[in-house]
Amino acid sequence: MTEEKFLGLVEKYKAQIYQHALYLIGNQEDAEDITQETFIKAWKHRAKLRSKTVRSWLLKCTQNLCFNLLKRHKFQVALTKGDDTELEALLHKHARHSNPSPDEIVVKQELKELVHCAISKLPPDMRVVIIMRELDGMSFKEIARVTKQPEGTVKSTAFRARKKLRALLRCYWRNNE
Amino acid sequence: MTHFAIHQNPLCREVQDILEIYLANELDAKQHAAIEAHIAVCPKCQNEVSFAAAISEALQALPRPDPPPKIFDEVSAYVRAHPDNTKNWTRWIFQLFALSDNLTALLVRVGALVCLVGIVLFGIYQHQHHTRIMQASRDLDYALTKLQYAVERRDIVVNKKLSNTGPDEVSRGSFVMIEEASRRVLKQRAYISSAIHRGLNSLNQLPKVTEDAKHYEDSHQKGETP
Repeated sequence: MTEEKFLGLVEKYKAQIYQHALYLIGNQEDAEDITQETFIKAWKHRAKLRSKTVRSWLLKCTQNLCFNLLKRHKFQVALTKGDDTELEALLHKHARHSNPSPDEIVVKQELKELVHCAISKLPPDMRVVIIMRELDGMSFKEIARVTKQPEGTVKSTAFRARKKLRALLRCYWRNNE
Repeated sequence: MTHFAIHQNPLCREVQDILEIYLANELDAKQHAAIEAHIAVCPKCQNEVSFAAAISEALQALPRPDPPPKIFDEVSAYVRAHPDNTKNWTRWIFQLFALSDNLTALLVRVGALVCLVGIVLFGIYQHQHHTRIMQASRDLDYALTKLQYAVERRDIVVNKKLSNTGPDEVSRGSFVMIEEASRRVLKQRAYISSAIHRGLNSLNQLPKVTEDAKHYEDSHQKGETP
Protein backbone atom coordinates (compact mmCIF):
# COMPACT_ATOMS: atom_id res chain seq x y z
CA MET A 1 0.00 0.00 0.00
CA THR A 2 1.44 3.33 -1.01
CA GLU A 3 1.60 6.33 1.31
CA GLU A 4 -0.91 8.27 -0.81
CA LYS A 5 -3.38 5.42 -0.78
CA PHE A 6 -3.02 5.01 2.98
CA LEU A 7 -3.52 8.74 3.62
CA GLY A 8 -6.65 8.49 1.48
CA LEU A 9 -7.93 5.83 3.89
CA VAL A 10 -7.09 8.07 6.87
CA GLU A 11 -9.06 10.92 5.28
CA LYS A 12 -12.01 8.60 4.64
CA TYR A 13 -12.24 6.96 8.07
CA LYS A 14 -10.78 9.51 10.50
CA ALA A 15 -14.18 10.99 11.45
CA GLN A 16 -15.77 7.61 12.12
CA ILE A 17 -12.82 6.37 14.17
CA TYR A 18 -12.64 9.59 16.16
CA GLN A 19 -16.37 9.58 16.94
CA HIS A 20 -16.21 5.90 17.85
CA ALA A 21 -13.34 6.54 20.28
CA LEU A 22 -15.00 9.66 21.66
CA TYR A 23 -18.24 7.85 22.52
CA LEU A 24 -16.38 4.85 23.95
CA ILE A 25 -13.99 6.87 26.11
CA GLY A 26 -16.03 10.03 26.66
CA ASN A 27 -12.89 12.16 26.65
CA GLN A 28 -11.80 14.32 23.72
CA GLU A 29 -8.04 14.19 24.30
CA ASP A 30 -7.95 10.44 24.74
CA ALA A 31 -10.17 10.03 21.66
CA GLU A 32 -7.67 12.06 19.61
CA ASP A 33 -4.73 9.97 20.88
CA ILE A 34 -6.56 6.73 20.17
CA THR A 35 -7.50 7.83 16.65
CA GLN A 36 -3.88 8.65 15.91
CA GLU A 37 -2.63 5.44 17.44
CA THR A 38 -5.15 3.41 15.43
CA PHE A 39 -3.93 4.84 12.11
CA ILE A 40 -0.28 4.47 13.08
CA LYS A 41 -0.92 0.81 13.92
CA ALA A 42 -2.70 0.43 10.60
CA TRP A 43 0.34 1.86 8.78
CA LYS A 44 2.60 -0.57 10.62
CA HIS A 45 0.34 -3.48 9.62
CA ARG A 46 -0.39 -2.18 6.11
CA ALA A 47 0.64 -5.49 4.52
CA LYS A 48 -2.34 -7.18 6.20
CA LEU A 49 -4.92 -4.54 5.28
CA ARG A 50 -7.48 -5.26 2.56
CA SER A 51 -9.81 -2.62 1.18
CA LYS A 52 -12.92 -4.68 1.98
CA THR A 53 -12.08 -5.28 5.63
CA VAL A 54 -10.15 -2.12 6.48
CA ARG A 55 -13.13 -0.48 8.26
CA SER A 56 -13.70 -3.54 10.46
CA TRP A 57 -9.95 -3.70 11.20
CA LEU A 58 -9.81 -0.02 12.20
CA LEU A 59 -12.94 -0.26 14.39
CA LYS A 60 -11.67 -3.39 16.12
CA CYS A 61 -8.31 -1.74 16.73
CA THR A 62 -10.01 1.39 18.13
CA GLN A 63 -12.19 -0.74 20.39
CA ASN A 64 -9.18 -2.66 21.74
CA LEU A 65 -7.23 0.54 22.39
CA CYS A 66 -10.23 2.10 24.17
CA PHE A 67 -10.77 -0.96 26.36
CA ASN A 68 -7.07 -1.06 27.22
CA LEU A 69 -7.21 2.58 28.24
CA LEU A 70 -10.37 2.03 30.30
CA LYS A 71 -8.72 -0.86 32.08
CA ARG A 72 -5.48 1.04 32.63
CA HIS A 73 -7.19 4.00 34.24
CA LYS A 74 -9.91 1.94 35.87
CA PHE A 75 -12.41 4.14 34.07
CA GLN A 76 -14.58 1.14 33.44
CA VAL A 77 -15.68 0.92 37.09
CA ALA A 78 -16.05 4.66 37.42
CA LEU A 79 -18.17 4.99 34.32
CA THR A 80 -20.46 2.07 34.88
CA LYS A 81 -20.94 2.06 38.64
CA GLY A 82 -19.57 5.12 40.28
CA ASP A 83 -19.78 8.67 39.05
CA ASP A 84 -23.34 9.25 37.96
CA THR A 85 -23.29 12.89 39.01
CA GLU A 86 -23.19 14.28 35.47
CA LEU A 87 -26.30 12.41 34.39
CA GLU A 88 -28.07 13.12 37.68
CA ALA A 89 -27.26 16.81 37.41
CA LEU A 90 -28.62 16.93 33.88
CA LEU A 91 -31.75 15.03 34.87
CA HIS A 92 -32.25 17.36 37.81
CA LYS A 93 -31.68 20.44 35.67
CA HIS A 94 -34.14 19.38 32.99
CA ALA A 95 -36.69 18.20 35.54
CA ARG A 96 -36.56 21.54 37.36
CA HIS A 97 -36.84 23.65 34.23
CA SER A 98 -39.31 21.52 32.36
CA ASN A 99 -42.62 23.06 31.62
CA PRO A 100 -45.76 21.20 32.83
CA SER A 101 -46.78 20.90 29.16
CA PRO A 102 -43.40 21.15 27.43
CA ASP A 103 -42.95 21.78 23.77
CA GLU A 104 -42.12 18.53 21.98
CA ILE A 105 -39.03 20.00 20.34
CA VAL A 106 -37.60 21.08 23.66
CA VAL A 107 -38.21 17.65 25.16
CA LYS A 108 -36.50 15.98 22.22
CA GLN A 109 -33.54 18.35 22.42
CA GLU A 110 -33.16 17.69 26.14
CA LEU A 111 -33.53 13.97 25.60
CA LYS A 112 -30.78 14.05 22.98
CA GLU A 113 -28.44 15.64 25.51
CA LEU A 114 -29.43 13.11 28.15
CA VAL A 115 -29.06 10.13 25.80
CA HIS A 116 -25.57 11.35 24.92
CA CYS A 117 -24.70 11.35 28.60
CA ALA A 118 -26.53 8.09 29.37
CA ILE A 119 -24.52 6.18 26.74
CA SER A 120 -21.40 6.70 28.85
CA LYS A 121 -23.20 4.96 31.74
CA LEU A 122 -23.70 1.77 29.74
CA PRO A 123 -21.32 -1.16 30.28
CA PRO A 124 -18.56 -1.17 27.61
CA ASP A 125 -19.93 -4.15 25.63
CA MET A 126 -23.34 -2.45 25.33
CA ARG A 127 -21.72 0.89 24.52
CA VAL A 128 -19.72 -0.61 21.65
CA VAL A 129 -22.78 -2.21 20.09
CA ILE A 130 -25.03 0.85 20.50
CA ILE A 131 -22.36 3.15 19.02
CA MET A 132 -21.73 0.91 16.03
CA ARG A 133 -25.46 0.46 15.46
CA GLU A 134 -26.69 4.00 15.97
CA LEU A 135 -23.69 6.20 15.25
CA ASP A 136 -21.94 4.21 12.52
CA GLY A 137 -25.19 2.78 11.10
CA MET A 138 -23.72 -0.72 10.92
CA SER A 139 -25.85 -3.83 10.45
CA PHE A 140 -25.92 -6.51 13.17
CA LYS A 141 -23.94 -8.75 10.81
CA GLU A 142 -21.17 -6.17 10.42
CA ILE A 143 -21.03 -5.57 14.18
CA ALA A 144 -20.81 -9.32 14.76
CA ARG A 145 -17.87 -9.47 12.34
CA VAL A 146 -16.01 -6.65 14.11
CA THR A 147 -16.69 -7.79 17.67
CA LYS A 148 -16.20 -11.46 16.73
CA GLN A 149 -19.48 -12.43 18.44
CA PRO A 150 -22.48 -14.36 17.10
CA GLU A 151 -25.11 -12.16 15.44
CA GLY A 152 -27.73 -13.26 17.99
CA THR A 153 -25.53 -12.12 20.88
CA VAL A 154 -25.03 -8.72 19.22
CA LYS A 155 -28.79 -8.30 18.74
CA SER A 156 -29.48 -9.27 22.32
CA THR A 157 -26.82 -6.82 23.58
CA ALA A 158 -28.32 -4.03 21.47
CA PHE A 159 -31.81 -4.67 22.85
CA ARG A 160 -30.52 -4.79 26.43
CA ALA A 161 -28.61 -1.54 25.87
CA ARG A 162 -31.75 0.25 24.66
CA LYS A 163 -33.71 -1.14 27.60
CA LYS A 164 -31.05 0.14 29.97
CA LEU A 165 -31.17 3.56 28.34
CA ARG A 166 -34.93 3.59 28.91
CA ALA A 167 -34.37 2.71 32.55
CA LEU A 168 -31.73 5.45 32.96
CA LEU A 169 -33.92 8.12 31.39
CA ARG A 170 -37.29 7.05 32.76
CA CYS A 171 -37.52 9.67 35.49
CA TYR A 172 -36.97 12.45 32.94
CA TRP A 173 -39.72 11.04 30.71
CA ARG A 174 -42.09 10.67 33.67
CA ASN A 175 -41.56 14.28 34.67
CA ASN A 176 -42.50 15.42 31.18
CA GLU A 177 -45.55 13.22 30.66
CA MET B 1 -47.11 6.74 40.10
CA THR B 2 -46.81 5.68 36.46
CA HIS B 3 -43.85 3.41 37.07
CA PHE B 4 -45.71 1.30 39.64
CA ALA B 5 -48.91 1.32 37.64
CA ILE B 6 -47.10 -0.19 34.67
CA HIS B 7 -45.85 -3.09 36.74
CA GLN B 8 -49.28 -3.98 38.05
CA ASN B 9 -50.42 -5.55 34.78
CA PRO B 10 -48.45 -8.65 33.69
CA LEU B 11 -48.88 -7.75 30.02
CA CYS B 12 -47.58 -4.24 30.69
CA ARG B 13 -44.57 -5.82 32.41
CA GLU B 14 -44.02 -8.02 29.36
CA VAL B 15 -44.16 -4.97 27.09
CA GLN B 16 -41.55 -3.35 29.35
CA ASP B 17 -39.27 -6.36 28.98
CA ILE B 18 -39.49 -6.98 25.26
CA LEU B 19 -40.39 -3.58 23.85
CA GLU B 20 -37.13 -3.20 21.89
CA ILE B 21 -37.47 -6.69 20.41
CA TYR B 22 -41.09 -5.89 19.50
CA LEU B 23 -40.10 -2.60 17.84
CA ALA B 24 -37.36 -4.37 15.87
CA ASN B 25 -39.97 -6.90 14.59
CA GLU B 26 -37.95 -9.77 16.03
CA LEU B 27 -40.81 -11.42 17.95
CA ASP B 28 -42.68 -14.39 16.54
CA ALA B 29 -45.97 -13.52 14.80
CA LYS B 30 -48.23 -14.72 17.63
CA GLN B 31 -46.41 -12.82 20.36
CA HIS B 32 -46.12 -9.74 18.16
CA ALA B 33 -49.86 -9.73 17.55
CA ALA B 34 -50.60 -10.11 21.28
CA ILE B 35 -48.31 -7.21 22.21
CA GLU B 36 -49.69 -5.09 19.40
CA ALA B 37 -53.26 -5.73 20.55
CA HIS B 38 -52.37 -4.84 24.14
CA ILE B 39 -50.56 -1.62 23.17
CA ALA B 40 -53.56 -0.54 21.10
CA VAL B 41 -55.75 -0.46 24.23
CA CYS B 42 -53.22 0.44 26.96
CA PRO B 43 -52.33 4.16 27.28
CA LYS B 44 -49.39 3.40 29.62
CA CYS B 45 -47.79 1.09 27.08
CA GLN B 46 -48.49 3.54 24.27
CA ASN B 47 -46.59 6.10 26.30
CA GLU B 48 -43.73 3.58 26.71
CA VAL B 49 -43.62 3.06 22.94
CA SER B 50 -43.43 6.84 22.46
CA PHE B 51 -40.61 6.96 25.01
CA ALA B 52 -38.66 4.23 23.16
CA ALA B 53 -39.27 6.01 19.85
CA ALA B 54 -37.99 9.27 21.32
CA ILE B 55 -34.83 7.50 22.50
CA SER B 56 -34.36 6.01 19.04
CA GLU B 57 -34.74 9.44 17.52
CA ALA B 58 -32.25 10.90 19.98
CA LEU B 59 -29.78 8.10 19.20
CA GLN B 60 -30.13 8.76 15.48
CA ALA B 61 -29.45 12.43 16.07
CA LEU B 62 -26.39 12.00 18.29
CA PRO B 63 -23.81 14.68 17.58
CA ARG B 64 -21.01 13.62 15.24
CA PRO B 65 -18.12 15.94 16.02
CA ASP B 66 -15.44 16.34 13.37
CA PRO B 67 -11.95 15.27 14.38
CA PRO B 68 -9.45 18.08 14.81
CA PRO B 69 -7.21 18.55 11.74
CA LYS B 70 -4.08 17.85 13.78
CA ILE B 71 -4.96 14.12 13.77
CA PHE B 72 -4.53 13.88 10.01
CA ASP B 73 -1.45 16.10 10.10
CA GLU B 74 0.27 14.00 12.75
CA VAL B 75 -0.60 10.68 11.10
CA SER B 76 0.57 12.07 7.77
CA ALA B 77 3.84 13.25 9.35
CA TYR B 78 4.38 9.80 10.89
CA VAL B 79 3.72 8.04 7.59
CA ARG B 80 6.12 10.33 5.73
CA ALA B 81 8.74 9.88 8.47
CA HIS B 82 8.38 6.09 8.21
CA PRO B 83 8.12 5.49 4.47
CA ASP B 84 7.59 2.13 2.90
CA ASN B 85 11.19 0.87 2.90
CA THR B 86 10.35 -2.62 1.82
CA LYS B 87 12.79 -3.81 -0.84
CA ASN B 88 11.48 -3.91 -4.37
CA TRP B 89 11.31 -7.70 -4.65
CA THR B 90 9.66 -8.01 -1.20
CA ARG B 91 7.11 -5.37 -2.18
CA TRP B 92 6.51 -7.23 -5.43
CA ILE B 93 5.79 -10.44 -3.46
CA PHE B 94 3.47 -8.54 -1.10
CA GLN B 95 1.66 -7.02 -4.06
CA LEU B 96 1.38 -10.40 -5.69
CA PHE B 97 -0.30 -11.84 -2.61
CA ALA B 98 -2.23 -8.68 -1.78
CA LEU B 99 -4.08 -8.67 -5.07
CA SER B 100 -7.00 -6.31 -5.27
CA ASP B 101 -10.19 -7.74 -3.85
CA ASN B 102 -11.98 -7.74 -7.19
CA LEU B 103 -9.19 -9.66 -8.88
CA THR B 104 -9.05 -12.11 -5.98
CA ALA B 105 -12.82 -12.65 -6.22
CA LEU B 106 -12.48 -13.20 -9.99
CA LEU B 107 -9.68 -15.72 -9.48
CA VAL B 108 -11.72 -17.54 -6.85
CA ARG B 109 -14.69 -17.75 -9.24
CA VAL B 110 -12.53 -18.98 -12.13
CA GLY B 111 -10.93 -21.54 -9.82
CA ALA B 112 -14.32 -22.75 -8.64
CA LEU B 113 -15.51 -23.05 -12.27
CA VAL B 114 -12.41 -25.04 -13.28
CA CYS B 115 -12.91 -27.35 -10.29
CA LEU B 116 -16.57 -27.86 -11.23
CA VAL B 117 -15.76 -28.68 -14.87
CA GLY B 118 -12.99 -31.02 -13.68
CA ILE B 119 -15.39 -32.85 -11.37
CA VAL B 120 -17.97 -33.23 -14.17
CA LEU B 121 -15.36 -34.55 -16.66
CA PHE B 122 -13.97 -36.95 -14.08
CA GLY B 123 -17.52 -38.20 -13.41
CA ILE B 124 -18.13 -38.78 -17.13
CA TYR B 125 -14.80 -40.63 -17.48
CA GLN B 126 -15.59 -42.80 -14.45
CA HIS B 127 -19.04 -43.58 -15.83
CA GLN B 128 -17.64 -44.63 -19.23
CA HIS B 129 -14.96 -46.74 -17.56
CA HIS B 130 -17.58 -48.43 -15.40
CA THR B 131 -19.80 -49.07 -18.46
CA ARG B 132 -16.88 -50.74 -20.31
CA ILE B 133 -16.12 -52.96 -17.32
CA MET B 134 -19.77 -53.96 -16.98
CA GLN B 135 -19.93 -54.80 -20.70
CA ALA B 136 -16.78 -56.95 -20.46
CA SER B 137 -18.21 -58.68 -17.39
CA ARG B 138 -21.43 -59.48 -19.26
CA ASP B 139 -19.41 -60.84 -22.24
CA LEU B 140 -17.44 -63.05 -19.90
CA ASP B 141 -20.58 -64.39 -18.21
CA TYR B 142 -22.08 -65.19 -21.57
CA ALA B 143 -18.91 -66.92 -22.77
CA LEU B 144 -18.67 -68.99 -19.58
CA THR B 145 -22.27 -70.13 -19.99
CA LYS B 146 -21.57 -71.15 -23.57
CA LEU B 147 -18.42 -72.98 -22.50
CA GLN B 148 -20.28 -74.87 -19.81
CA TYR B 149 -22.93 -75.82 -22.35
CA ALA B 150 -20.27 -76.99 -24.86
CA VAL B 151 -18.50 -79.09 -22.20
CA GLU B 152 -21.80 -80.67 -21.17
CA ARG B 153 -22.59 -81.42 -24.81
CA ARG B 154 -19.20 -83.04 -25.32
CA ASP B 155 -19.63 -85.15 -22.18
CA ILE B 156 -23.09 -86.26 -23.31
CA VAL B 157 -21.77 -87.23 -26.77
CA VAL B 158 -18.78 -89.09 -25.33
CA ASN B 159 -20.86 -90.95 -22.72
CA LYS B 160 -23.51 -91.84 -25.26
CA LYS B 161 -21.02 -93.22 -27.76
CA LEU B 162 -19.03 -95.06 -25.13
CA SER B 163 -22.15 -96.63 -23.63
CA ASN B 164 -23.48 -97.71 -27.03
CA THR B 165 -20.22 -99.23 -28.19
CA GLY B 166 -17.49 -101.10 -26.45
CA PRO B 167 -14.11 -99.48 -25.95
CA ASP B 168 -12.65 -101.48 -28.79
CA GLU B 169 -15.55 -100.78 -31.09
CA VAL B 170 -15.56 -96.99 -31.07
CA SER B 171 -16.31 -96.13 -34.65
CA ARG B 172 -14.65 -93.43 -36.69
CA GLY B 173 -17.97 -91.55 -36.80
CA SER B 174 -18.04 -91.33 -32.99
CA PHE B 175 -14.55 -89.83 -32.95
CA VAL B 176 -15.60 -87.26 -35.50
CA MET B 177 -18.50 -86.20 -33.25
CA ILE B 178 -16.28 -86.07 -30.16
CA GLU B 179 -13.74 -83.97 -32.03
CA GLU B 180 -16.50 -81.65 -33.19
CA ALA B 181 -17.68 -81.15 -29.59
CA SER B 182 -14.08 -80.57 -28.46
CA ARG B 183 -13.63 -77.94 -31.15
CA ARG B 184 -16.70 -76.14 -29.82
CA VAL B 185 -15.18 -76.16 -26.35
CA LEU B 186 -11.94 -74.70 -27.68
CA LYS B 187 -13.84 -72.11 -29.67
CA GLN B 188 -15.64 -70.98 -26.53
CA ARG B 189 -12.35 -70.89 -24.65
CA ALA B 190 -10.92 -68.56 -27.32
CA TYR B 191 -14.02 -66.43 -27.00
CA ILE B 192 -13.53 -66.27 -23.21
CA SER B 193 -9.88 -65.28 -23.68
CA SER B 194 -11.01 -62.49 -25.95
CA ALA B 195 -13.63 -61.35 -23.39
CA ILE B 196 -11.04 -61.37 -20.59
CA HIS B 197 -8.72 -59.41 -22.81
CA ARG B 198 -11.39 -56.79 -23.47
CA GLY B 199 -12.25 -56.63 -19.77
CA LEU B 200 -8.65 -56.15 -18.73
CA ASN B 201 -8.18 -53.62 -21.49
CA SER B 202 -10.99 -51.62 -19.86
CA LEU B 203 -9.09 -51.75 -16.60
CA ASN B 204 -6.03 -50.27 -18.32
CA GLN B 205 -3.92 -53.39 -17.81
CA LEU B 206 -3.62 -54.12 -21.49
CA PRO B 207 0.18 -54.37 -21.98
CA LYS B 208 0.70 -57.08 -19.38
CA VAL B 209 -2.39 -59.11 -20.20
CA THR B 210 -2.07 -58.91 -23.96
CA GLU B 211 0.76 -61.42 -23.69
CA ASP B 212 -1.45 -63.86 -21.80
CA ALA B 213 -4.26 -63.41 -24.26
CA LYS B 214 -1.87 -63.95 -27.18
CA HIS B 215 -0.57 -67.09 -25.51
CA TYR B 216 -4.12 -68.45 -25.21
CA GLU B 217 -4.93 -67.49 -28.77
CA ASP B 218 -1.71 -69.04 -30.11
CA SER B 219 -2.29 -72.25 -28.19
CA HIS B 220 -5.85 -72.31 -29.49
CA GLN B 221 -4.62 -71.93 -33.08
CA LYS B 222 -2.13 -74.76 -32.55
CA GLY B 223 -4.96 -76.89 -31.21
CA GLU B 224 -3.37 -77.41 -27.79
CA THR B 225 -5.60 -78.26 -24.90
CA PRO B 226 -5.01 -76.53 -21.61
